[in-house]
Amino acid sequence: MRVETLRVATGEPGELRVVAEITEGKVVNAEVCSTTTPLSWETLVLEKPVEFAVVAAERVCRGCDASAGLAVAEAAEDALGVDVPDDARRARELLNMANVVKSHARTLAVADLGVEEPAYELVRAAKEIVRMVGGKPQHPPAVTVGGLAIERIPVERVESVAKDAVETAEEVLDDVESAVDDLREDLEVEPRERPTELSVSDTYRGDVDRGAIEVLTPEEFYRMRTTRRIATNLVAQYEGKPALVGPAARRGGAEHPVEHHVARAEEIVSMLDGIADAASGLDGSGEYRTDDVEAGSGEGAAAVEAPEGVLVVRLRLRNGRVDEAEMITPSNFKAALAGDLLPGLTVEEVETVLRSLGLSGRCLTH
Amino acid sequence: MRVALLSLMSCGSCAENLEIVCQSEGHELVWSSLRDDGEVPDVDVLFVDGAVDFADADARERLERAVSSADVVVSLGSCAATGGFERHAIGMREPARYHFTVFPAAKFADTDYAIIGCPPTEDAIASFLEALEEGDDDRLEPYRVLSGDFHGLDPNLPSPVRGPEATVEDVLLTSNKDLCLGCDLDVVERELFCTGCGACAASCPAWAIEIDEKPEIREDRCIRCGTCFATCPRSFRA
Repeated sequence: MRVETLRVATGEPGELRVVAEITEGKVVNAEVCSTTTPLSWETLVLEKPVEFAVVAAERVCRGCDASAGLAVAEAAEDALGVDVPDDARRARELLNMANVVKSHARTLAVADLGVEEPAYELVRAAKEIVRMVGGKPQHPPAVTVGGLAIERIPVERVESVAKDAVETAEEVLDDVESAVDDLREDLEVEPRERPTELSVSDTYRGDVDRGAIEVLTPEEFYRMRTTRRIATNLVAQYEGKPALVGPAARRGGAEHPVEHHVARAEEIVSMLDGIADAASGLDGSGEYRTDDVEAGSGEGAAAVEAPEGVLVVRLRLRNGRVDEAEMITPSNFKAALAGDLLPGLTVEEVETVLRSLGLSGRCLTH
Repeated sequence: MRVALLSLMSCGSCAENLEIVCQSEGHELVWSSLRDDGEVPDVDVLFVDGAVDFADADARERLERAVSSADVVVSLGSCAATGGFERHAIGMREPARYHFTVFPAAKFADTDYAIIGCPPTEDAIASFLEALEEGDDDRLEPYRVLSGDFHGLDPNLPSPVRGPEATVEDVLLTSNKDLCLGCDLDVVERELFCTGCGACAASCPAWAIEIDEKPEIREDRCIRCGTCFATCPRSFRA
């Protein structure tokens, strides 16, 4: 038996590593961690105005950019007791759905599933919707404490772009299902224990019991010396156990890790429908922001259903500046269970499984 | 064109836009560090996405190897071109280790061009590749000027700085988190070059600039990407 540290190219930014005990070409025991240089969002926002925490969160990782900004804005609103107008809440939900479509479509495009061209078409459609609602196609700058800093949304155009993309999304779903069937036959994966699924709610926003989330340092979570030495990430568990988050958790689980891709393709279709519905019920020149935001003090938290799973932000503010911050990302949860999916696989198969899980080194370390 | 992508300290948005452009404009993305772990094949253009952590010897070595496989090297996005947002990086939580060591790619490798933006738009990337393919030097000139040490962090530094030869002073000076391309807008305004055209505000990816006859930077939203400076029609002071 030998212990190897493998770099895994999942298609996402950052440096993801698997420390694996390998016998006769197959993984016997494995741990998944990140060696990405820490941005340390929690530290770099300290003493900065809370608005900076929003724009900084949007630059942690491309996949969940809008969702991360929304989570920070909502945690700040919770801390400051800011009541966001209903139009803004609906527009934010729409923005988050577009972010899910953008992220999932790009993940599918680079997953060697044969859907590159239509998937990138969907990325473009989603970016167009993000631009119309969030101000720019990436890192949407309209996300702000108190709502969205935008005066009008071209709701008819949003609805039209979403509806036009549905047909392509359904084609992608068919192709992904077929490709995943082939992958599943080639890959035998038996997790030691089926994890419980964790999702915020059936919408993008809701309550997660922060007290039930346990955040562990590398020394506390990892068993192998090598992993403890190289890991630059924390690991999150829910109610003392690893929890599955993300598209598969939102649909009630996955029998096999590669089914995460199917869950993504399904979600793209349902989110596009959701965007069209939401846009049709939205007042294009509604009230998207409250002016009733003061640079006050307080403590608050928010949980957002980001593309790859539950994203939790907790803030303590002092005179409008960040006094303490915490961000728990989807990859923090996924790292806790990823290692258990790998025993019995070859090194090549490890990459396929981790790619389907949607792990990002950047998200994991942030 | 045969294109490769090396992603370093980055959120991945620049890479996403490059992938889309390659797919839609018929360029062949033959290698990407996001998807491949092997050596970079010979390519026409290498795009470097993200800043370089001086403390990360592995990243510096990967950059050096990748550059040697390409005819043309391009810093893709503000983080690669100037350090950009990544210069805010703090480093490890525990133990308290600080990274005052985030550099643009040009500090460690000879780069030919840079495309500023957070992220650069698909149109900007496509337009650059078209100019490169056509050998249109006039259109390439702004990208050339923005590469290398133009980022204004320290024009006296020898370029490129190679690995351990950098002094502590060099590291600290070039990591000054208060400096950025955007700050040069003050120079533009102070020297009465500013016409109040609003190009900076329109291009700002964080909506950190408001125009009240002249630009006013909202420090609470500025990410120091330099897009405003690169966009300003009067910032290139010959």
